[in-house]
Amino acid sequence: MVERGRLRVRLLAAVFALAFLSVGIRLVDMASGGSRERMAAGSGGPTAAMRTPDRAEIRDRNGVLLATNVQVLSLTADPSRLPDPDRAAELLAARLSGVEAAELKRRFAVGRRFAWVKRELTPAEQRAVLELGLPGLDFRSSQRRLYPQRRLASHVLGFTGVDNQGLAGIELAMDERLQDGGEPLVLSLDVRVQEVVRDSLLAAYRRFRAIGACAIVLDVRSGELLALVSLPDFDPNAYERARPAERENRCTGGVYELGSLFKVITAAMALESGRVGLYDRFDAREPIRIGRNRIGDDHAKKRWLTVPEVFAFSSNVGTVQMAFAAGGATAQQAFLERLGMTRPLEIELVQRGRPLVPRRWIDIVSATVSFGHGIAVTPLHFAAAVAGLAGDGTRVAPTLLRRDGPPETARPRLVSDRTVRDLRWLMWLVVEKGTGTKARLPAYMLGGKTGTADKPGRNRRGYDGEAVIASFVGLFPIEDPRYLVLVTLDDPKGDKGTFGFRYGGWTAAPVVATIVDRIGPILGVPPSRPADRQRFAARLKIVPTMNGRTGEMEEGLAALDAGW
Amino acid sequence: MISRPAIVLLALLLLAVGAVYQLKYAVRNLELQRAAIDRAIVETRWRLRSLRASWAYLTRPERLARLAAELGLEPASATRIVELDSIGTRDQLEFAARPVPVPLPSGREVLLRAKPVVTFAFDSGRERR
Repeated sequence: MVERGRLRVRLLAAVFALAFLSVGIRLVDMASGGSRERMAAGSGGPTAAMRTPDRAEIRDRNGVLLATNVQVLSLTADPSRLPDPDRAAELLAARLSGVEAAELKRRFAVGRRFAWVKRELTPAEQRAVLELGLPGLDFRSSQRRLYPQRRLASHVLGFTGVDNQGLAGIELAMDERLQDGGEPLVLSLDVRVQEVVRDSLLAAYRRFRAIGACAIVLDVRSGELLALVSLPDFDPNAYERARPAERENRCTGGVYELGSLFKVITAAMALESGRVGLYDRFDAREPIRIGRNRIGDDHAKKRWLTVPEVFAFSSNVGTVQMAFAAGGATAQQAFLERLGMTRPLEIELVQRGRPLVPRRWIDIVSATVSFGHGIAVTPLHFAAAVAGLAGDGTRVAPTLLRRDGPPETARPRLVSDRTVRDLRWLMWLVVEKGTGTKARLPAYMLGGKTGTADKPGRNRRGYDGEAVIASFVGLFPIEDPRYLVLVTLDDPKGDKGTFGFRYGGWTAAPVVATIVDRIGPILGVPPSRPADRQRFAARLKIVPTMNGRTGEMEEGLAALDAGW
Repeated sequence: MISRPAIVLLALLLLAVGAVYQLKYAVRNLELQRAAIDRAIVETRWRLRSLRASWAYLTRPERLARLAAELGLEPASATRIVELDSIGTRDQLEFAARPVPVPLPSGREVLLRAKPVVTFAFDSGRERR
């Protein structure tokens, strides 16, 4: 009996010893904070500090900061804990800008437990408040989206609201990606190019008292937008103050009849159709009659014109005939479709204009579309189309995001290499001898096309008769285009320097020239070589003319006094 | 009457309690330190952010262009780019050898003359192009 009793006691003691030991081990373990669950669940572990869950930054293609989040402090007060609310109100008002003592006194009224003093203090104000050392004051931290480049890229970036949600521009279009935080969003823009473009466009916008303006710089090979400027613009840091006209993105949101710029498309279509040769002639002696309508030229040559002359002089009469010779409405519809001119723009923005395309393609519609009336597209639609036609002949999809490496999918072909070559030469001719001579530069061979479109009247019927959209599209260097520059000015007024002319060749072409001259060195484009200049110039000599003599066209073009 | 082993055990127990107590406080201190460092990291991060934003603001092209203009600099122009080949070797050497006036802190000006190391050894007649 006794033996059994001892055994029981020992067993019990062993069990207790084991239990205490495990409790002891756990105690040491917990005290050292080593257990894994605690690390993971612990408040404010190192991982939590590393992760600042906020909106991703936006940078330009070279890493320059375009949008970031900064912490701002706001000042609140608990009036019941302030020793002397009235005195505190006076002290605070003296140190904080935009804060009235009387207003603070009202907010600090007896019985209140909470009052805003000021939102978003500057660091200096923060220090001043701390130096006061008043009890009952409290700082609240919040995040604010900051755009250090101010107005520079307002229409591309857009802005965010008080809760850091995207409200416009790429901030809205890419909101989900930005909300997730993480790596900065890298845009295709180059702030240096953007600044040159904005500066040059702003000068013309002011000089010609335009009501709006747009400029685009597009990488012809990749489709990346290096610059996109719409005027008037706004400061996204203070977007609440921006007027609707300032928020409007004229490059991607608004659709316009672009007028003679469209002749680039008609010429490409005609040459690609195989039914119009580069040296075919068209009768431009008289205005052309279609039904009850008459289409004439602004500066009629009143003679037969070859395709290069039609293009370089921007003859409506000749262009209409080219369009009909190429197949008219059927050919035009198919070609515009292929260029993507009939669909809304695809771009990483929210303001994406939907083209206004004719519903019934009767002859007069075909005729006006050939020189850019009766069809309205966004400037970016047009820029992408021309980049494709005069680039490598394949479709260009513009983007605002930096593309690293070649595009994944092969781009659909628009026109043959031969058409590309001919079109480049035609565009070179416009700048060399035609309506775009004001865009000539010593360093680069430029190709381009001028446009001066009548603006629709206010009631959307007929034309205003007064206001125009003046524009110029340029490609450089035209012997192997790298970049496209498009400038449109909405309702420019001529001045003494342009002899009152508002034509695209007088107002928009010089802006393109200034931009190209300044961004060429930034982008590292070498000047055009003499050999290429000679090759382009040599083609002038072989253009046959009406009476079989060669060289007449050159004389005719040279005789023309500066373009319009 | 307490047995000897019991005394030893009791002593060990007290020692162990003391050790755990010490450990607990050491850990608590470390945790406080860590929390302070975490806060400092977050604060520094925000400060870095705002400094980067200031940097971007102060180096924005529009401001640089204005400051450069005040210094008498002009916007770049493509006409300033010339291929080296289109300048003759003789001209290149003459340019390199031209005297450059350098103002001294004393107000005096001296002519600095660089002596080209290469003379006409590599002249392959390219300047006639």
